[in-house]
Formats: sequence, C-alpha cells, structure tokens
Amino acid sequence: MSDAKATDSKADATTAGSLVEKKEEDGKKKLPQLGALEDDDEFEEFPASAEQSGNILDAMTKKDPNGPGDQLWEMNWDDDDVDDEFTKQLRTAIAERNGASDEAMKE
Amino acid sequence: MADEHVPLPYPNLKVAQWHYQVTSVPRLKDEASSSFWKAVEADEMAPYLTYVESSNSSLISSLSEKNKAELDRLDQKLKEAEENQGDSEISEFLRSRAMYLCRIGDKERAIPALEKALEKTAGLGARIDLVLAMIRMGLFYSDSDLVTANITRATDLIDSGGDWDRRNRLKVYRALYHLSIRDFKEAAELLTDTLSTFTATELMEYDDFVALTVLASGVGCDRKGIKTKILASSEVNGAMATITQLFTMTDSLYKSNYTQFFLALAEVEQHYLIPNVFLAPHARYYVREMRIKAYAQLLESYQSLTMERICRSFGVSETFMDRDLSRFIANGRLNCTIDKVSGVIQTNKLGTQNKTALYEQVIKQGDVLLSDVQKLHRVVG
Repeated sequence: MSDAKATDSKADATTAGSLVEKKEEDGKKKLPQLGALEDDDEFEEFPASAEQSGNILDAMTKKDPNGPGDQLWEMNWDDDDVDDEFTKQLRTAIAERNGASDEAMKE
Repeated sequence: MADEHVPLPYPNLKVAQWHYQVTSVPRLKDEASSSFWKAVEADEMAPYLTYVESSNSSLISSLSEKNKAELDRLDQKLKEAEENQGDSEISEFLRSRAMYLCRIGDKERAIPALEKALEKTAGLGARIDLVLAMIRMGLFYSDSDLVTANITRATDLIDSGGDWDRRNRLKVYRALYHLSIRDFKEAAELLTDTLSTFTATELMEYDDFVALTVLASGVGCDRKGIKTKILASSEVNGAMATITQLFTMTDSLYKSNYTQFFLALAEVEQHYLIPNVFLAPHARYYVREMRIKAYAQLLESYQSLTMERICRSFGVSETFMDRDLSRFIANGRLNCTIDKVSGVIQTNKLGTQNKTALYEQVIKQGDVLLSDVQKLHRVVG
C-alpha cells in the first residue's frame, strides 16, 4: 500500500517536474517571439550598458570603486537628485528673499 | 623601538584625505596638494603613489630606493634575531617590518606581514595593536571588508581581556567605520561614549575627533541627547574655538535660531562634509536630515503657521521653502500640508486615528500615575 503511494507521489513529482519544464520551455519559446514583435534594440541595450539604460541606480553602483557593486548604506532615492550643494541653494534662497523684500519696500 | 602604548599614525590617514581633496575638492586643491606631497615624502610612500597612479616617477623611484634599503635593513635584523635571539626579539622585528610597510602604504605586503607578526606575537596588547593597524589600512584604502573583518577580530581580542585604553580606541575606529557607511546614530553613540577618554591619536587628532562627535550627533542624536552629550559636554565646550561652525549649528538648532542654523549648516557642509573622504558621499544626506529636523522642530509647536512666517524664521525665499517642504512632505518625512492659496502650512498632528491613540495613551499613563501615587501615599501617609 505504502509502495503504491510512494510510486504515485513519485509519478506526481515527475509529472509536476515535467510540467515545470514545459513551462520553462514555453517561456523560452516566448522570449524569441517577443523579440521579434518588439524592438530588438530595447532588449539588447538593457543588460549591455548600465549608463545608457538610464537606470541611475545601476550606474551609481557600477561607478563605485570601493564596494563590490552593492552600496554599504541604504540607497535613498533622494541621492539621485542632482541638487546643487546646499550652500549654493541657500545663497540663492537668501538672495531671492532679499530681492523680494526690496521690491516690497519699493512699493 | 616604538613605544607600544603610543601607536604611530601608520598609515597616515590624512594623506588619504588630502589625496581626495586634490582630486575632488577644487577649492582646497592647492593647499591639499602641498600637504599631500610633504607627507608622502616624509613617510616614503612609494607604493601608495604607484597605487594612485601618480605621474611623479622620479619621486617614486627615489622613495622606492629608500623603501628597499629600509626593508633590507629590517630583514637583516630579522634574520639575525631568528638565528641568535629569542621569540620576543623576532616578534619585535616582525612588527617593525609590518609597521614600516603600513607606513609606506604597501597594502599588498603589509597585510600578510601583519598576519605573520600576529602569529608570532604573544602579548594581547601588542596583538590588538596589530589588528588595529589592519583596520587603519582598510580605512586608508576604503576596503570595507578588511575593516569589518578586523573590527570583529579586534572586538574578540579585546573581549578576551584587553585593557580599557584599547577598548576605547577601538570604539573610535568603529565610529569612523560607521560614519563611512552612513550610520550616524551608531557613530554618535560610540563617539560620545569616548569623548572624555580619547587617546586614538594614530587615527585622528583630538580636535578632529571632537568635530566628528558633534557632527555625528547632529543627525545621530535626538534633542535630549544633543543637550546632555554635546552642549553640556566640557570637552566640546573646551574645543569650541576649533569647531565654531559645528557648535553654532548645533546650538542654534537647539535654541531655534533657524536663520543662524541654516547659515551654519551651509558652512558645515563646505568645511566638514565635502572635504572629508569618509563623509563626502553622505553630505547631501546629512544636510537633508538636518533640514528635516529643523522643519519638524518648528512645526511641532504649531497647528498652523503662515508660509511667510516660516520663511522669515529661516531667512529664505518662499520659492526655496515651498520646494523644500513639498519634497519632504511627498516623501512622508514631514507631517503637514501646504495651502498655497492662503499661504498657510497646516500640521496634521491630530489626525483622527492619532486622536484615539493619544487618548488611550493618556488614560493608560494616567492609570499608571494614579497607582504610583497610591503606592507612595501608602508608604508616606
């Protein structure tokens, strides 16, 4: 009885395995089909060059000479902001403010 | 022979800082350049120059000759010791050799030399010093694997019976590492802990240490921590003359002088964050976090306030304030809304959900307080 069950489960496993394999094959078959449908360039560019793909995160991690590719601290999306240094921003902000108050006084 | 209790700054971390400034901080390039070359020559750092691909080949060759001469001399002494003298002499020469390799910045040969010296050295203190030297090499070359592995090693050695001096020194090493990976909170804790017992002069000078402590606590400590550990610290107050901008920044935030705070923050960015090879990658983050702290502190006291008022407090234009606040509100870092039409900022402190939670908290705390008072009454009354 138990033998029968064991063989049954084995059979199930093999069918399950073959199902998975079939799905993979389907997936593989799908990719070249998609490639034909969509622009080939898009697919090729992505893995080839990080900078061109516009993925800033990849570009940043690849440019990092120190780490093994992974940043050692939490990546903050704010880091992607190519802001001026705060000093410059503040100078502008203060100038703007003084400019605005000058105008108010002129009126 | 070097006094074991006062380790020498090999390698000289300042050289790494100056090199960074020469390549990445145009404002400081000239000054850093002259300091850099002076120090490199003094420490005969030919391998380091090769590493950074310096074009000064004449200097590299003259320093390389000195390196070779010194290493030959040490190797000779080592051989004699191995033939005629005992283990302690052998380990001493192994250490000298390893430390010379550290000094000239020859990472490839220094690490194995340090390992070899470690094998042959018996005293716990000397062993710890060798591991600390490995951490220094890791910090110098931004090799974080080397740093973390040896921090663990040093911690284990110290736990097995190291003296307090080395225990405290390791804290400073760890703090520097945490700063380099943006963990300001942990760094601040370690640094404030060792404020009164600093001896790690081989890593950094005392003034720089105090500066880093104040800097780290800006982001890493809450208001209470800043008051007790920084503003009330005798070490910080003693060093005030050398860290004016940092102190002003911390003090003005505490006293809610926001205009002054912003000005000081900009100075700190220029003088402490951008020129520092460990902190430069986190400069934007640091300045952002300090701004959020300041805004949150001001908004804490109001249910609503005008845009005009907040701009006046910080001394900046509406354009700037609007942009900055919007950004932090969008990230969920600030809990408020901007009513652009009426020029008013509303704080959402008491959203409906929070209200119930707050009431429940008051009732719970009140219960605890009442039972405490009852107990006290029984004891006293």
